[in-house]
Amino acid sequence: MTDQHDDDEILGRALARAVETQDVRETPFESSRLATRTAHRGASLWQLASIAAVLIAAIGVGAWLARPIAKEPVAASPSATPSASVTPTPSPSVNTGPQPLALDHDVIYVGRIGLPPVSFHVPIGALARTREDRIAARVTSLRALRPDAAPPGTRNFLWNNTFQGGVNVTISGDLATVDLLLDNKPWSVPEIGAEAGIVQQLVYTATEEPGIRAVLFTHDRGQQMRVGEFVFSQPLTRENVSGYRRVDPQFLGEEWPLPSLPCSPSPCTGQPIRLSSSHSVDYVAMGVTRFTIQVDSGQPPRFTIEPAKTDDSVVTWAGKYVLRIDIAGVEARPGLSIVERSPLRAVRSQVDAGHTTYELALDDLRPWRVVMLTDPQRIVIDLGGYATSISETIAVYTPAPGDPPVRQFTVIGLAATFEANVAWRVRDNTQRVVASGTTTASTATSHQWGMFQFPVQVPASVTPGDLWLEVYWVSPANGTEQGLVRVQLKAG
Amino acid sequence: MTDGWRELYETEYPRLLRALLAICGDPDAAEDAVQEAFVKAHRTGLDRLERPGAWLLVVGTRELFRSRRRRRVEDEKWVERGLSDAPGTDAIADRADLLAALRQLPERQRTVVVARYYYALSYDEIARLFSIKSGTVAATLHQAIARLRQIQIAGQLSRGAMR
Repeated sequence: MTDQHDDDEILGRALARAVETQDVRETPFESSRLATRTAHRGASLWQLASIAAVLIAAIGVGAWLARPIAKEPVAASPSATPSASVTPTPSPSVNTGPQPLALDHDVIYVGRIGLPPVSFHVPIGALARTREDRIAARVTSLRALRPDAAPPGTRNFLWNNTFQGGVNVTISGDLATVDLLLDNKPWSVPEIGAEAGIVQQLVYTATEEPGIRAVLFTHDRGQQMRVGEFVFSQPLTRENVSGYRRVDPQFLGEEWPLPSLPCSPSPCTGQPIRLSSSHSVDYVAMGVTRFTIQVDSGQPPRFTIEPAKTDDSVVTWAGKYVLRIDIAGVEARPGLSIVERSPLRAVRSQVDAGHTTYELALDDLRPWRVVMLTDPQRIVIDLGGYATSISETIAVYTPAPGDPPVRQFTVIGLAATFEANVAWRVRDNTQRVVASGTTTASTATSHQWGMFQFPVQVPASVTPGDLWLEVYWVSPANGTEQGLVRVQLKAG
Repeated sequence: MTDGWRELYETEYPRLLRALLAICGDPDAAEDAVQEAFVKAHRTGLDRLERPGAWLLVVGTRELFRSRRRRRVEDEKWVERGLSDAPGTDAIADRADLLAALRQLPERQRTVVVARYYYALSYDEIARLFSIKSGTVAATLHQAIARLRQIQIAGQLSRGAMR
């Protein structure tokens, strides 16, 4: 038996050597997909130059309605050549110099299938001075962003589409009316998701101008515009097109008491509670923004969370909304941090009389969830995620819609369900249930979410094809299924 | 943040690439699965990967086996890159024999063998990571080793007969 075991080990070691000595062509980190993800939203000089070159040309076309606009002499200026005029502006999130105190509004929005669009820096400010000019410049530059210049994981649905320039903008209060020159041609909607993508990119980009909350798009001198089946029949805000269900005001401003935990591991000294915060975007899962407050010592604090509409034409660091967290305790490093990673534009923290107010400046108002974790004590606030993977009580982070179906996978998400109970099932492409089970989230109440994670094993007998993961909970009152989320895993 | 990912990549990438190449025999498929595994790791978060190397192996092998069509292509490429390409020395031929033999095993056996002998994971670790019973790990390894030995002996005999 021992000899047999030794022989097996010898063979195993030989095999390990064989595996190790294979000739492989290694991909350096800089060329890896991982590096692309961690690089986030940087753009190379030539990418910015190409955007600027087309943008400059586009602005010249922008006067198609002969509107009396005071134009910058960009087209005639010798310094307006791309190579001379464009200085690559690094994203503030990677800027190692002094932090700016205002948001970068030289941005357009690029699309993501199933998620709201994200901002992308392009040089606009120097080329357009009036608010109307700036809106026109942003919208026009959408058509100029080449697919290979868009940030990884994003799409520019307006590239090589019907709109090729020609924008007229009028502003009334916080409403912009944007008329596009389309020569009465229909928009090209080549794939599923492109229709929503075009609409989202247009609305988010046009409303980037500070003070503008809604936009009405028309075409060819005031005609009602249509993108596929979508009709621009009325002014639209970002929240109208983000894809999320409306954030119900009745959930706003709710107080979230931490559970009554002992002071452990720190003694109850009566000293001010020390706080530290961190944030991430698209790190926990695609489309999810996470803000975490760690409570390092003292009594568990009480806190409130409340979203507020902001006037970004007055408050230069704010987005369209801020999510405000008031908490007893002292933030270790208060101040303003410009983030510029959609939807999180900036984070500000202020300390006053033993209380800290955190304000998250946001592109829009989207669903948010609060999770309390212990050891150490943390308040975790998650915003967004795939709209189709979120219900009022269930949020599935992994797998993402469209992920390939596999035999074994792990489901990760949040739940705010009765006694933290979560049920799940998997359907095959005939909608037959092929696997099911239940699990329990870390903790949950009617307004507090808990984290869950569980493995799924699809039986070998299931024919390869699309799968649907369904996560829900069962009402103890009447046995009905609540908060159902369906995630389609797509083959091929 | 990037530094942590770079360190993980530079530590784990070469090992994972070789493991997946050994399992599938197709450099392109192995590379693709490795890159996807790292992307999924990034999506999951560094602080949530208890044993990143083992986690990447699990996710990488899943990526590798996610479609039957890909496996068919792998098989064809493996045939093209098989023993006939192996250099003439016995040591290298033996290693090529072993890898070729490994490729003839069922998917689960290949994965468990690589996890056990190349990643040096314990039976319990393999069981937990791949969601199979510990006893199944032992049985799978036993069957795999027996089959590998059969194939290897056959290969050596065949090569000896051609000298």
